[in-house]
Amino acid sequence: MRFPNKHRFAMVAVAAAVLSACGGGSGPSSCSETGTYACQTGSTEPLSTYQWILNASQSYFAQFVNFMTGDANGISDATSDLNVNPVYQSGIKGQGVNVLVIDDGVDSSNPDLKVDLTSSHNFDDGSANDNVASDPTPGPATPVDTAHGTNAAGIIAALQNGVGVMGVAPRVNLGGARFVGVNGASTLAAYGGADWSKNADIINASFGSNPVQPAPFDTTNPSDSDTAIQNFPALRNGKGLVFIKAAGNEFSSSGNRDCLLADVNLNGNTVKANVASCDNPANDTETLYPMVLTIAAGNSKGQKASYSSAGSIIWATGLGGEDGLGNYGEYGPPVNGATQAGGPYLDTSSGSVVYHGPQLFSTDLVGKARGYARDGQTTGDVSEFTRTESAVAAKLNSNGNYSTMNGTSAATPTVSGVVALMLSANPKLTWRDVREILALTSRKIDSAYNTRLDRNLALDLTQTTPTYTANTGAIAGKTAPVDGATEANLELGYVKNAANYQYSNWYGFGLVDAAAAVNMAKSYSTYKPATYTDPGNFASGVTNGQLTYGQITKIGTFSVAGAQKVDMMELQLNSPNNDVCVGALGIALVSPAGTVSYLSVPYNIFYKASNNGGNDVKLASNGNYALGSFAFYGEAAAGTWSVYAVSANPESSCATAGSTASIDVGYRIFAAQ
Amino acid sequence: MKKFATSFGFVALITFSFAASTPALAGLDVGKTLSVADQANYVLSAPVQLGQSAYQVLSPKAGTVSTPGITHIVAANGLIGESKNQVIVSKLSPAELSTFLQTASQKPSSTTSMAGGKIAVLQMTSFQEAVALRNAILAKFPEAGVSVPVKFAATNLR
Repeated sequence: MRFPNKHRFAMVAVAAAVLSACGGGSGPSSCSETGTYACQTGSTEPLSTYQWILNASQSYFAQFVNFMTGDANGISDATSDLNVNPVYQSGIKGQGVNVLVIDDGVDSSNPDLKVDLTSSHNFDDGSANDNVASDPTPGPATPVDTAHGTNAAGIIAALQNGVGVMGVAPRVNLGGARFVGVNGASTLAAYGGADWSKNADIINASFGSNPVQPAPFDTTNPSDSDTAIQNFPALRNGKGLVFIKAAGNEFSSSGNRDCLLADVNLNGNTVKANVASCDNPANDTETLYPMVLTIAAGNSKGQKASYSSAGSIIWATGLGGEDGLGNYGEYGPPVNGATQAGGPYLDTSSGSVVYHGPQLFSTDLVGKARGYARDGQTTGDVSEFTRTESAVAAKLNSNGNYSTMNGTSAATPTVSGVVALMLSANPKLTWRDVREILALTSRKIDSAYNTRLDRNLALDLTQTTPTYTANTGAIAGKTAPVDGATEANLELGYVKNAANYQYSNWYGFGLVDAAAAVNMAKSYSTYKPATYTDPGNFASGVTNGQLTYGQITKIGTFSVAGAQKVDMMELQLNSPNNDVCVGALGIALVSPAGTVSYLSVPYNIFYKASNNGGNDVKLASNGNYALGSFAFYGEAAAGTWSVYAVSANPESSCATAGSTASIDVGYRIFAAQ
Repeated sequence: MKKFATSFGFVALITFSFAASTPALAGLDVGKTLSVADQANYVLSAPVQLGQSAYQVLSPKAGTVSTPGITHIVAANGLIGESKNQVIVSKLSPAELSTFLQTASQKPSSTTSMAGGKIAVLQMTSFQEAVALRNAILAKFPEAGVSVPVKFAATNLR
């Protein structure tokens, strides 16, 4: 057993913390914190060794680095954490920052959470699903696993108290809302419009939508989300609410929906190429605003988590983990039906051990009857830590108050925590400053991912099943789309734009780095204005552009004048003849400076859609399908923009292979400040 | 969304959604397509123009129960949406709005102020009335932000 040594270390650390507290708390001379845990890292907490996001090199999982010699299956690179300890050692732990977790509730009775139960910072609907009025704790009538919000809250704000785990920003003022899944929940109220939400500095939104066909984005009739988001800059006393949202978990699967890009044909074999994202986070229209920071998930290997949806509206990456099992997440999950309690898990086809990577440890619904950690779960379906009758749980989780979570839902609160540290270090930061600092300081992890695992192979657009070939055709060596080519390279990796920002559809501007972000926040003095000017309706860009299925087609250009710089670029697609098979359609945009961004990819979630009878979804003439990109952040907007349709051949009932379709493309630009 | 590894597959996804908690007209799921054949199971209103799109209100035939406060609508391509029959007003002072509503032909059953008075939520009794009031406010105050929100996708935990 490996963990007892780690826990002895933790106990020593707790003792040291208690000793250091004598005399009112002291720490390094630069320490700005007082109290028992002044300027202490999370090593004071008994479960800290499993909190790899806080200190990977000292974690239980560090021993699995490069465990399988010669390949990338080690579950930890022992460096990919949030780099947060230097921030703690300076005494910054989120003091003075209000964080509101809008979710399925937060269990305020968990001893590792201190939920602000005043009516100015929490919400519940007063129904039978509540325990107490004005308490966001999910009541007994809610499903037994209504623990999502409690986990998210713990990742942000679990206390540093010598008990359990510690959140990224353990001294924030935590608010919670029972919102998702609640009848009659008001988005306008939750998003800063109500008395209970208006005081939030940060809202953590580990939720989103995955439309089964393109949701119209009609700027002439905004949704309630649109209206609420447009009011974000006015909140936080005019410095702007920071709204942090999960990108989604549909990179390679999407429930029972078709996802053709997950399994592709390569040289006659079906392989998991995972070249491009199945679902596009931009399909959730809330992401189509600069005021929404959409967050991807990374894992303990320092790579994109397997599930994390990718797209050009990702702002940054947090840590969301994988779905390892075993005792604490060190093995598995099982492949091809193999299970073995406590791990290791074997792939029955290859006989090899499966190492995927751990989830994030956090707070759970109190008790062993409810929560993600509870009695009655099956060995092999969950880790032993969360199977509360197990021997492992008896030692470390005897009350079932802690569990694990993964997903972009878990990654999002890691970024909320980091932003809380930034605002604690410098409350003057506007929402634009927060974004700018994250863009400048986030780490470009997995820097060559676009050439890893054959992702630089070419996609043969003439096929109706995604098929890759050697990248030797018309697009060989090209990063920009080639008009008329029947092959496409969908994943460009990190692209350095003309304003010197490096942007990736997988990672946005990279994995957040708490120490770097807080350091920049401290020295930051040239504040960007919080004011926001809505760009209004989409301007006409390309009218009746002609795309050809089965190839790349340059469908047109549009010119932009003026001195503005780009924050976010948006396109709006319509199909005047109702003949655009939107699942087959990818869109690439090239800026006047030559920067290329894929705003959508072919064979996407709308291709051969099971919810549409297995047929491609057709875009309506007034479908108003909107897409966005941050890849041009900081570039001059003026000049000629080129729009390319990167179209696979569609499913036959939607359109004939090689046929053409008409498309209108509108555009609008959110100006950078 | 919490993802549970299982012994029989990669992951099983547990989802929660607004839609799941809101009883809907039989067979109507927000964001999905209602075929022409299936539309025959409902009473469809005359098209209502809202912004850049026209929608028809779906009403239950005899024996079917609708959800109070929720109106299901369908776009020309069969896309199903739902409205709370609310008009959202921003960029207009509460005083100006109040004065206008005194003489408006459509009257909200309730008015809720949000965001310190910057946003008003006007509750109407039907989708058509909401659209009519939206259009009336916009005609008088073209610079105001006025909408009848329509939801086309359920919200899921991630």
